[in-house]
Amino acid sequence: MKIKSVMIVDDSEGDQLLTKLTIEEFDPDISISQAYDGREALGILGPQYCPDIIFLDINMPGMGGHEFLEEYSQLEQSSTVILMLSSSYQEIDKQKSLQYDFVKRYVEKPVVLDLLKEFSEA
Amino acid sequence: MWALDKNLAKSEGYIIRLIILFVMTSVILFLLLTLFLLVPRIDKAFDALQTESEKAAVKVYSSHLEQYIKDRELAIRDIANNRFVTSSVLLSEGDNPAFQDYISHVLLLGEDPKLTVLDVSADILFSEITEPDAYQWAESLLSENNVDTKKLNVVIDNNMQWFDLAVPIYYGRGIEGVLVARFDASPSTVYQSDAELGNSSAVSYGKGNSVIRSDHNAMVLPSEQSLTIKTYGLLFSHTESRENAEAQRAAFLKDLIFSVLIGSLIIFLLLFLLGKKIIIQPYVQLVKTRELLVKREREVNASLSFQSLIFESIPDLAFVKDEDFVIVQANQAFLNVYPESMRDSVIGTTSIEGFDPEEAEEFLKYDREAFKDGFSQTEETILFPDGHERTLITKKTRFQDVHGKRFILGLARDITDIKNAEKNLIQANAELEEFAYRTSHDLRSPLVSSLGLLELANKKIEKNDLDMAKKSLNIAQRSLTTLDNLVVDILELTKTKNNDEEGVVVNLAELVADAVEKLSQMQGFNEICFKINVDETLEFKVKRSRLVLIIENLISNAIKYSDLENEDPSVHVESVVKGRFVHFSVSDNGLGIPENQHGKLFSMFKRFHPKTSFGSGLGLYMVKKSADILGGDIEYKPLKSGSCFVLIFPVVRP
Repeated sequence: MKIKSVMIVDDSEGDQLLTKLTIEEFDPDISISQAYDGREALGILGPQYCPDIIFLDINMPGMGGHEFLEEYSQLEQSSTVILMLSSSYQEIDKQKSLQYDFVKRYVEKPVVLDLLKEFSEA
Repeated sequence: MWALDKNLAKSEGYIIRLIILFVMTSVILFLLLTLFLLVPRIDKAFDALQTESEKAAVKVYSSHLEQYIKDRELAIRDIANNRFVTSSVLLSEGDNPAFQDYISHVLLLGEDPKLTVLDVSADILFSEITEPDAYQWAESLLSENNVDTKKLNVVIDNNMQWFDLAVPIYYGRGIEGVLVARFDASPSTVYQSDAELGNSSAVSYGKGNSVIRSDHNAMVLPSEQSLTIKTYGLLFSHTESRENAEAQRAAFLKDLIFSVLIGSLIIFLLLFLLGKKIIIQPYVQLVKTRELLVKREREVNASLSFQSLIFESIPDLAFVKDEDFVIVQANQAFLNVYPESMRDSVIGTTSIEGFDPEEAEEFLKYDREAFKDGFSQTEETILFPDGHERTLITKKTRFQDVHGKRFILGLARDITDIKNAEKNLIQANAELEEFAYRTSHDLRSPLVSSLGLLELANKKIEKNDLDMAKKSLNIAQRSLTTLDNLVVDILELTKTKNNDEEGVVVNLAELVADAVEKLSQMQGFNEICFKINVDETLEFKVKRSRLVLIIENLISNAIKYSDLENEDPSVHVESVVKGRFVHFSVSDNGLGIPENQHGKLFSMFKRFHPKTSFGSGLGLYMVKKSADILGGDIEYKPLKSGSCFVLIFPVVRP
């Protein structure tokens, strides 16, 4: 599957930059949108914009990853693949995240490249 | 018990001694009364009896004598010969020589004398002559105490026509009368020879020379005489002599005293031998039993009052209910949960009247269970009639009294404090877990991203893309700075949790000025207009570092989250004193806080502003904890634009 668009939702400036660069390196044609918390991401997402993959950080000020998933599931736009990123592995976070169909992975940072490869081959 | 027995033994000895003393005193008093009251009466009675008997004897004698004299010849002979009847008054005269002579003369004269008997008063008892006055002379015989009764008195008529032979007779204690024989003859015819006519004659002759008496016959006559006497109806009873009477009286008194003594002795011995068994021992047993009963009762009372003291002293709520769920007993701790006005009426009611019906049913449910199974236990949070909500753990146990009536004993322990502590512990533990989780994330996150950024910078330097390398390094630096801030805050937080700081006197206005000065290096500080409205003279005693932490955090937040799009951002610091409390507020016209986040405002690791987020997320949490330590509270008041935090805390004014 050719990945066309990716959204990065992360409050960390560094992670944003690293993820963005990794994606650009992997395929410069992928369009990238960035949000610093769930609320901002929801503002960007809509019928007009539906990225193939969302890299979602769990811990963010304002609306965090879990709250975002909760609100996102109400939108019924579940075609998007969401990959959860966490800087620390927590079983409870993983359980909570994977209960949504559209959440495909729960991984620790930084593993963006592997994920991109995996999903583009799928 | 030992002491009691000893006392009883003492009292037993005391009682025995008392009874013996009483009995002996009674016996002695009885004897004395007998002697002093009875003896003179008995004596008198004896005398009276004796006198009566003597009088009777005289009368009998006189009457018999009268008859006797009618047949005088034989009678006189019988009398003369009568020697053996010793107790007869008259006949005892047989041994009297004078009387013997008198008889002898009478017989020898062969005359028939006229007999007269005079009594002690010389009154004639009977007489054969008609001149009663003729015996005046006899008085002298009677009145003279020392009359020789053994002498025959001869009274001769002046004309020598007759003569009297008189002899005092006695039949009692003394001379009782005179027997007179008058002979109508000249004494000369009678006294021919004193010697011959004396008592010495061996044989006496009567009229017609018949032998009247001989010594020889006298010796053999007794049986005949006895018959003769019977013939004449002269049965002389044995008149007791005064000596006999005295002796008899003495013997009677002796017998009386003796029998009284014997009786006393028997009573005494009986008392001595059996009294202990039949009187004293049962009595002592009775006393002993009663003393034991009294002691038991005292012990029972003491133990009862001890039991109720124990019941009262139980710090838990203790109560007893009967099968109708009526409280029959309750201790003070139990009563104390009722308002004072209700306490008197708690015992005797079912206790559920004051409660919400649902709670009341809950009570009864466990009462029923306890009555059914013997035990129930429940933990419940109840709104009590006194208005307090308490958490109680209540155990109810069934028991029966001696009549088989069933009760339950309830013990309810107020575990409200424990529950609260438990709640606090759970909360603290949750916080700690959260803390560990958040820390691991928030510490690792900047590290991981810094490592990535440093690696990126290296790569970019290799490719000579210095701009990107620099950007990368800058981000890494910021990321690490954030990490450093976080570590500083965590350290500060550790201090916050340690609240053993002493209060010092501070000037609030100075603290605010210091904080503003300290924060002046912050980004955006210079754009902000500060309005500080704090009384410069306001001083009080407070835990200084806690207050400083609060002031710095609130002001720093106000700067940090100022609205960059606002043309004149401002921060307003104000303090108002209301009684013991200081109301300290920091308000701004910055970004404010989204409404849905208000609830989490003072939690750990909460940040609300994504793009301006360079805080640790611990600031307000620390503010809240510090406010708690000051004994105050922190409130958030959302403004139309911006935020307002109000710290209210009690102070001690110097």
